[in-house]
Amino acid sequence: MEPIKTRAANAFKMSLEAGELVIEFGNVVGPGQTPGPAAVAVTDRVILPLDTGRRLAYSLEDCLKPHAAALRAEEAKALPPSEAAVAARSGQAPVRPSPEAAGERAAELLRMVGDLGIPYQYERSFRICRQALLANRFLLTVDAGNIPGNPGERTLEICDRLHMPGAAREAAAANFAMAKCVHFGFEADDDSIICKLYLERAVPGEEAQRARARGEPVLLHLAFKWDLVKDAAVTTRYLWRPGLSAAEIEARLAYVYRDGARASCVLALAALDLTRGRAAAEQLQYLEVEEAENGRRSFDLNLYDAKLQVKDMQRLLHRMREHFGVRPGQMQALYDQIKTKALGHLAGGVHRNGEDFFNVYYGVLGLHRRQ
Amino acid sequence: MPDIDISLPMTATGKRFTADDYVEVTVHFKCNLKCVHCMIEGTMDWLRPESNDQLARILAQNARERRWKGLTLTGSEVTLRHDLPDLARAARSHGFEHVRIQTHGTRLADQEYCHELVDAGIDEYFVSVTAADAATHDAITGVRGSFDKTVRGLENLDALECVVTLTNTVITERSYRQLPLVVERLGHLRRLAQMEFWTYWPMRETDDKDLIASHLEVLPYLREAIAAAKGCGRSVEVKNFPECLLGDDRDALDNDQPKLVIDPEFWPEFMRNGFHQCVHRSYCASRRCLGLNTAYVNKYGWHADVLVPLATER
Repeated sequence: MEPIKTRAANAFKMSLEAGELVIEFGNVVGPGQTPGPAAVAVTDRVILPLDTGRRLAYSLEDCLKPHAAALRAEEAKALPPSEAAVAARSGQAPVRPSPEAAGERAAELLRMVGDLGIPYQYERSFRICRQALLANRFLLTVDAGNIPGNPGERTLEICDRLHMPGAAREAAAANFAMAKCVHFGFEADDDSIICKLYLERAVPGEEAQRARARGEPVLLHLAFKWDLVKDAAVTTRYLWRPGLSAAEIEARLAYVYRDGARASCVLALAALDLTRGRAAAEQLQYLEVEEAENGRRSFDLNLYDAKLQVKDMQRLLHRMREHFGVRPGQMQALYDQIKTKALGHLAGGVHRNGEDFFNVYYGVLGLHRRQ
Repeated sequence: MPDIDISLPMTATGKRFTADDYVEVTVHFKCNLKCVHCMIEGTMDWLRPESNDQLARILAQNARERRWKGLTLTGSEVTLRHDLPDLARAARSHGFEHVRIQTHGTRLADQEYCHELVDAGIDEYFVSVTAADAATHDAITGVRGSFDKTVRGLENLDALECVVTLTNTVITERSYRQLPLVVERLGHLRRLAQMEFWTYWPMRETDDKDLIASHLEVLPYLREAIAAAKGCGRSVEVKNFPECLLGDDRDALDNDQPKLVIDPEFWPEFMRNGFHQCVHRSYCASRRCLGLNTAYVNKYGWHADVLVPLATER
């Protein structure tokens, strides 16, 4: 009997011949030196019955178990980091905080409006109120006439996906015919996720003139707003007072703030003052806002025609920050991101929770469907 | 302001170095400082440095393909490797135009050693400066006297021709207020081409060491430091900070990294950071922002009150 020879091998080939397992062992010649397939010098050929081959496979598996991690790590060397991380420790996913529900909802709304396949406008805003700055708010606007298919149905399909309450849905469906434009709104903070549907009327010129002559408002927007967290809903009416002079707007602002919040009234007047010399007050769209379900009493002043940037109201924002007790760093962090955006409109007054507030809309952007 | 002597041109966006031009190889996992923010602190004792054979393969590849311009020798503290000059010489002989080391720089206080490294071909030095003064820096590194040595090392290099230095300051709760002061403290260096500010990540899901600073608190200091460094003619790179918050300084954000050759066991640890989290993640147009990480969100929340998604990529 020949003595056992120990021979190293770094390559093998396995095949099935005449019902038996044939394994050839050998060594790679000139590893990695030249491009193309490597050559192998075969040194040994072993023939095993199938059953023995199966037991060999089991034994190999057992032998390799203690080295599995090292082998995975070796194989992972060729992979990009994210895949290497998974490959090197299979079955271990990184622990992440719970997904942010507000972010998911916002993304869903953006996606659904984008999927309408029509141009839309995207306008962000922030609310400042007592010790709080809330920047996770936006509006998406489409022309109702551009919405493909049945515009009312398509609009309500989006609202359905956002769990619009039944009563609001019925009211929106009943009033949809008035809509020239449709605005989808979103806002979220620590306690609420509010989705909104605004139906904007096309107010005939004669109606606007008549309202101006009589000193009466006309309905411009009918909005339905519902809170996904608190299970609450309101209907909001935006009433336009066409063609007001600066003095008339000042008087209306005094009326909005008639029960207090004098400091906020001064700030609102200061915002109006920013437009002097830039746009005639009569061109600025002044709205008042009411909700039957609560004591909301607020205004919305469209400043786009004044062609201001957010930075033009920097001092005013500073005063607002001080008035509401918002941390300087928080305000600065937001301001630095948006200071060169076009200043859109300013809303303020007494909110539905009785709280003094301002909303600043900025940087409306025309977007198209993502390809 | 010093008469900056940096021949490397800057691109229009203020960059002097391109990550794709470099390959980083981890050749050593030992260190003689004990920085509180060390991202491999808990892994140094079991991560395996790349072998000389592996390094040789990379050098051979570059000799054949000229894939990279620069080789960065890194890991923990590569100046603890006695054969560092040999590695540099080998890299140079295999077509690397630049050899960089990542170091805390204390050994560079030895002028002769600096000469030895430069003579061997190491022309770029990426030096960690954790703070602007000895008390703060030494408290962070855990070794008294380390600040003075590091600064002396940078000054030694500053006196040598054909040398470029870069610094990195890790932004933590213990360092962020000093960022502008770091720029000021190093203002006299003529060969300091680039200052980097890396926001700390803890390599786990919680900030056990209480080192993560609020981005909102860091922001004014960071922007002041960016402006000051640019004012000195240096390029600036910020890592791991939300792009939106940087406002006009967004161009300073550069999360690109060279190809890193490291023990794959590093990556599962790294992925525990959980980058790319943000309330606006799915619709923000930024392509280079790493967002927030798990430990950050667990500590400070989502910052939905101030983060504004980018509507268009610059």
